[in-house]
This record gives sequence, structure tokens and C-alpha cells, in this order.
Amino acid sequence: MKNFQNVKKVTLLAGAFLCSVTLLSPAFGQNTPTLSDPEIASVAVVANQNDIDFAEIAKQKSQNPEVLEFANTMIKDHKTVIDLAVALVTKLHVTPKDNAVSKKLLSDAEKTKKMLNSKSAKEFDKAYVDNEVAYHKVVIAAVKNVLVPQSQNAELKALLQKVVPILEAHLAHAEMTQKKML
Amino acid sequence: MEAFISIKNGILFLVSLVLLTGVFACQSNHLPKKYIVEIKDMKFQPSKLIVQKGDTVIWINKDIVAHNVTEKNNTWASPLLLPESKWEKVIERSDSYYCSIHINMVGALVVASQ
Repeated sequence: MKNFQNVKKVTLLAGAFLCSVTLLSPAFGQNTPTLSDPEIASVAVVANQNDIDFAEIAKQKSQNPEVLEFANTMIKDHKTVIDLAVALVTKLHVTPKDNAVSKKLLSDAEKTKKMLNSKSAKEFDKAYVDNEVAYHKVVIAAVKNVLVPQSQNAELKALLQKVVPILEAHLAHAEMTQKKML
Repeated sequence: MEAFISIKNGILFLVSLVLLTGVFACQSNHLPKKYIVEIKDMKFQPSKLIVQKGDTVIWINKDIVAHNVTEKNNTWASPLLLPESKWEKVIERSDSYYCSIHINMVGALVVASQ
């Protein structure tokens, strides 16, 4: 019964992620959103800020040194990307513009934060790391398949391209931490 | 005649000295070289570098996030390398290293036998 409940929880978690991917995934070809540069800037900032928020929860709830180390890396790197994005839009006199994708990312992040905050200390590390693996997969797909191809400004496109290997390194780090927990 | 012998001995001594110095120089004096490892796209490039003992390796961070260079057992480490900053080290032995911020970034230095 306990196993069934665990499976159910994981399925629900995966379901929540699938919903958040819908707006960004190339698998939903005809639903792929069309974004302007100000909208892409907004999505980029929100996606990075979400992961900082998840890491801040980890710093409060986890006592696992590897999880804490990972969370600190997420805060440092995603803050750097936000700072660079803000500096670029300021230079280009562009104001990030809310849009359906950034709003969906925000509302999904609220659900994820609620889920993470509800976990016991024992359950938290696995939930956080599983979330990081899934979240980075979604964001990598979004940056590669939606944000980079649709960005018009060359500097914005170049910044997004530089972010991809960072996200891929984060995913590899999260997956390494996830395997150690098995 | 004595003066001639004396000069001859002196010349022989000097020639021997020059030859011996040359022999020792060939045996132990490797001119140290400098090598560059770029930290780019979240990788050490090249990830494996073959050097001679006494060569210098310069790591340059070409990424947009900060990194460091840390020996695998933490016996030595660079300071935090912000984007576009560099750090150098004279290599005395073969070592494996990684970035302690991004632990899946790894590199190796191999000191070739002379």
C-alpha cells in the first residue's frame, strides 16, 4: 500500500511537470508559443528565479551536504544568468513582458514550492533532486527549441546559447546526486 | 715552456668545464613551457594535458559563470575564477582536478617522464 502511495505521488509530480512543459515543448508542435524578445527575456528571468526559489527552500530544509552544495550552485549560477539578462535588456532598452509561458512557469513553480515545503525532512531531499532533474530537462528543451530559435536580437540569442551548457551541467550534477540517493 | 704548459692546462680546464656544464644542462634543464586550459561551455579544454615537470598551466575562465580548479583530494585549489579571470600553477606532479562548484567538470594533468 505504501509503495502504491509512493508511485501515486511520483505520478502526480510527473503530471504536474507535463502540464508545465506543454506550453514549451516541441512535442506539442502546433502549440509552440510565439514569443517576442521582451517575452523571451521575461521567460528567461522567471525560469532562473524559480530555480533559485527551489534552492532557497532546500537550504532551509535539507541537511544533506551534497544537496546543499547543489542548491548553492543553483543560486550562484542562476543569479548570474539573471544579472546578465537584466544588464542586457537594460542596455537594449527592452522591458521584459509577462506572457502565457512566464505566467504558467510562475504558477507551476508556486505548486512545486508548496509541494517541497510540505515534505518531511526525510522525504525532502529526494523530492527536491527529482524536481531539479525534471525542471532542468524542461528548461533545456524550452531554451533550445523555443527561446533560442525565436529570439531576434543577436546578443539575446548569444546569451541564451551560452546558458544551455550551464543548464546541461546542472542536469548532470542533479542526476549524479539523484543516483547516489538510490 | 712552463708558461706554455700552464696556458695549455688552463685551456683544457676551461674546455672541460664548458663540456661538463653542457652535459648537466642537457640532463636536467628542460626549458619550462606555458600551457593554457580554457574553461569553456562548462568543460576544461583540453580536459587532459600532458606537460613536463616545471611547466606552467594557466586556466582561463571563458564561461559566464564562476568556476574554480581544485585537486581531486583538495591538496591545492585556485581561488574563485570569475568570468575572464585566470590562474596559473607550476606543475610538479600528475594530478586530477575538478571544479568544486560544478562537480561533473573534471580535468587531468599528466607529467610526462623526461
